[in-house]
Amino acid sequence: MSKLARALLVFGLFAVAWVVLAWDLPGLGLTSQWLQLVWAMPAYLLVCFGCWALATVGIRLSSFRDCPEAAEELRAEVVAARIKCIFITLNL
Amino acid sequence: MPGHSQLLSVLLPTYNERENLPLAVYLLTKHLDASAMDYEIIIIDDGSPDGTLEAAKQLQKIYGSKHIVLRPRARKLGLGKDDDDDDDDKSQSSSGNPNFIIIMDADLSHHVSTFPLKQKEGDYDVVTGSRYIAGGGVHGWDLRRKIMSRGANLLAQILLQPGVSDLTGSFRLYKREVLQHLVERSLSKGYVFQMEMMVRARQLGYSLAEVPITFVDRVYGESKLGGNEIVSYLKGLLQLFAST
Repeated sequence: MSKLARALLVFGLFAVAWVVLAWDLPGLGLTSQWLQLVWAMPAYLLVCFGCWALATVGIRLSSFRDCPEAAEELRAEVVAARIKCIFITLNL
Repeated sequence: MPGHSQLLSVLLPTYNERENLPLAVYLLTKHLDASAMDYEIIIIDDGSPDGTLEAAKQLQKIYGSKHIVLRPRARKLGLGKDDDDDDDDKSQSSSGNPNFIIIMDADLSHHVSTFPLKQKEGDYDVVTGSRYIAGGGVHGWDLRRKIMSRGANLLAQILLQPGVSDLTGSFRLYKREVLQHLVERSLSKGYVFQMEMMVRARQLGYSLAEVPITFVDRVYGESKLGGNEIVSYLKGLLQLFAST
């Protein structure tokens, strides 16, 4: 099963469960408080997911290194490579 | 594991890399000579109009044909399968039987020897470079670029669950037979191919390891991130999401 099929299956199961509860199809006699909670659940989950994603990107951004030492090392390597190139060109 | 009797092939696909190539080869030979491994650097030039192949021929004269192998192709094919590509360019070498194959970009030349060392630690099937783990990073990107990179990476992690932190990092070591198997199983080309290889590797149960890489944004030339790149990235992600 592809990842898309799996995701659709999970989404479908969730959607069915939500419809069943939101319209109280089995006749559980849910109070209006519970029904409000069920109705708001998709939006609540969506907002939670968005917050989690933003926080994750933010945290990972703060640990994304700029590596000045790597740039410095590469600059030194470029100089060394050029010197070697001059030596080869001059046949030394 | 790589050692004196085992051969490491480094594949360098190039397109208009005339200015980057000498530095890339210099750094590769420097690190690989120091690690005392048998190696060959295979330069696969896709008919660059800027004279990359001429530069490669010069490098072959300097470093010798034992270490520098040229495999020019007539036109730009990129990585991945091609319709009329009967043989597998990515697993060929001059001697025919490398034990390990590294595929990298010509502008990523840092510390190639860490890959075989990591492989040796756990006899891993694939070792991939990551900019996102401790010790890795990118130099020369502004905040916008970093946010885009992190966001795109998170999206890939959610959709594809690849088991590695950097899906698009184009610096990887494969066992030869693992690479062959992955190429047989992969369907995409170019950019998406890089991602698909890791997703397939995980699916097929191969052992994966990561080493940190530091990416210094192109020494020469300019790397671009425009609308087209973003759209093709998203298309690639969705394509893999639907097909793997």
